[in-house]
Amino acid sequence: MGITLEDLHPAFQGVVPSAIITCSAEGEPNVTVLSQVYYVDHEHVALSFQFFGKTIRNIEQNPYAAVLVHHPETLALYRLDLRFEHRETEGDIFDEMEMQLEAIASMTGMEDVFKLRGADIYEVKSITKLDDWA
Amino acid sequence: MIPQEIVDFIYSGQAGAVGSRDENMVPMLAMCWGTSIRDTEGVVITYVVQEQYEQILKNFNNNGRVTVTLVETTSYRSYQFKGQFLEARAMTPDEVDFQRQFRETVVAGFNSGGYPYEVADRYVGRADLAIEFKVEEIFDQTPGPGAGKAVELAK
Repeated sequence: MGITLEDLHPAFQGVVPSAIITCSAEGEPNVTVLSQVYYVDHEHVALSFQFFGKTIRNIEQNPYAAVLVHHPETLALYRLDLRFEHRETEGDIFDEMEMQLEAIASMTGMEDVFKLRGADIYEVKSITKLDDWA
Repeated sequence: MIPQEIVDFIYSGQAGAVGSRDENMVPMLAMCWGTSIRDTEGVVITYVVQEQYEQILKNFNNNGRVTVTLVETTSYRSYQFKGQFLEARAMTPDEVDFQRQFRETVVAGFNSGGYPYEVADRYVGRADLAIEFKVEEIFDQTPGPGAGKAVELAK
């Protein structure tokens, strides 16, 4: 049986920063730091949209992305291959992400920096474990 | 030339992620474990675990676009290096030593941060491949309104 998003729940607490890659329409990849990957349901995650940077511009041109997430206890590493679906700027998912982001910001001293502008909902196309330990 | 503060950052023991994209513009990334530079030539060399790089190496050979982002996990300070792939090759003995020291530093950091030694030791990759690329642009990716700002390369 393959890995499910439910298996990765602890990895969505934001203890270890994640990385996200996107790609422009012209083919320039871009990797940046991501403070929050949020579990939505068994096929979707939400990523925090905080700044109007290249990641957001790229996603508007090309919906494909991938993120690396770590299990906070075992440090096991996973890659999620994603496809952008839509953005939410209000509602339950947005509110819960905003609360979680405030907690992450408080833990990392980034209270004045992290501010949620949107919850970007992605379909998870595949999950790959990038190491070989249990 | 890469500014000295960024050279110092590169050698201060930061892990990171290497990115590429395929012919359909689908991006792919994996971790890198130690990075060095040949600054007179503007070449950055990052050390990776080869078995995680099959698709990424195909992408590099097909289109040459490389991006590497290094992150200080405690502060989120991060820089992104973009450029053109040169080669993937076996690590030299000096690079093997360098990467061993990098591993020891990072493992000790996680260990002092509360992770059991065995967990940290298993996590930090034992690199067996060097990826070289010519840096064209560097961006400050530290989270905040200025994230993504280009760093001026010294003459």
